[in-house]
Amino acid sequence: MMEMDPSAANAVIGKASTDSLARIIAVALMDALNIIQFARRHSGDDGLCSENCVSQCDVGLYRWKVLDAHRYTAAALAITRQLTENLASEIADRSKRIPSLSVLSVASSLVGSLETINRLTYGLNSADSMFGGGNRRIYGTKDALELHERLEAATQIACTLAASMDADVAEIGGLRRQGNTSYTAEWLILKIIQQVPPRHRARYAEEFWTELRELAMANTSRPFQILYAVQQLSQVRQLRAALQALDQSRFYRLRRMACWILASDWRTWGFLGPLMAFAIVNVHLRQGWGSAFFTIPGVVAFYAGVEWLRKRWVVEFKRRGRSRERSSSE
Amino acid sequence: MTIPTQLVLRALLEDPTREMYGLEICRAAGLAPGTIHPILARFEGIGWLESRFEDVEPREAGRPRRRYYRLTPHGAENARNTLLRTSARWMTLVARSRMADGA
Repeated sequence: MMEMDPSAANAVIGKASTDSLARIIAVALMDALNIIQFARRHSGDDGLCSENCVSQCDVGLYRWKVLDAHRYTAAALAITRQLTENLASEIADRSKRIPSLSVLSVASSLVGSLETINRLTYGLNSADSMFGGGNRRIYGTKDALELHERLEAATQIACTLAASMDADVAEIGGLRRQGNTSYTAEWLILKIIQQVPPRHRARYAEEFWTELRELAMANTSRPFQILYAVQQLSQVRQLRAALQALDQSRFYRLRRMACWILASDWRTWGFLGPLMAFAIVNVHLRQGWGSAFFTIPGVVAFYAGVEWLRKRWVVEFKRRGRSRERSSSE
Repeated sequence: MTIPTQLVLRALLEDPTREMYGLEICRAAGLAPGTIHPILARFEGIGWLESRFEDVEPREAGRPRRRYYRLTPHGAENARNTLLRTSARWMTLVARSRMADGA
């Protein structure tokens, strides 16, 4: 088993902000495990028990071993705490960014891991407190045994965690941005997904994500990936319309709007009236009143067309004027 | 029917029993990636197409799972008829324009 110096462990923590989370979790967990095991071995050391000290030399050795065990336990604790923070922020971030992606299942599994890490932190904390911040120098056999037991329990938790998180880390690695995936394309895909109707969002999120990943895996250039996302973006309104009226024809929405206009005389002639008035005035200005007179059949044709469309599309509408006349005559 | 729609249908009709994923359909139809999803959604809506996510474990496959599309038997028949009608209409238009040119 490779043993790690606490300063190297701190370097890992420092790197946490820049490196990818999947790698960080794997590295931090392995480091924590190594360090915990090292601390545990120290805790089982005969030299850690002050009762074994016979000579001044033994006391010196004992003190050095206590400090060493404390240093390693503290380093393991720091890594575990960092791991908890990273994992918590990643779960929150991912849940916020892609609410319906399969990442939620990973996230829920990670939440389970987070609880285990918390237990590990608690165990290491209790072991660390036994050192009294490195100031406590006298350990009896009982203390040494207790410390060893606590670190033994921490090691078991870390081993279980490493095994259970191995799968999650691989899955996060699979979901995370790959080295050659364009960040801009990813961002655009997220924007596109937000415009897709909510009940189709999960499916298209996964589908677009997969396509982008496949393009990246085929070593396509980043501008090409951005072009892919832009093309998706240009089609998103059509996709949205197609998904909102899945069992309807392509012009369903246009027809529905036309029916809504035709259902009311106010809407119909409020829309057509100004257009026709403008046409008559324009003809008059260009060709004189004589030609304008001949546009009147056009108005009649429009009226007949409106009536024909209402009948053909079975548009229900009320003729307010006529119904009022009918009621007054009665 | 628009030309991209016809191209997508032709690509799917090459082997109606075969399942194809989005990028594969784009390649087969000669269209740019990212342009076919509204077409596929529309056909899926009217029951010409069916789709499903690939049944693989992403970890084992080393890639995320794909969404596969396939024409339904009813969809394949309708697509074939529609394409035949469209091409017949085109042929008529071309013949008319040639006749007009000749006259």
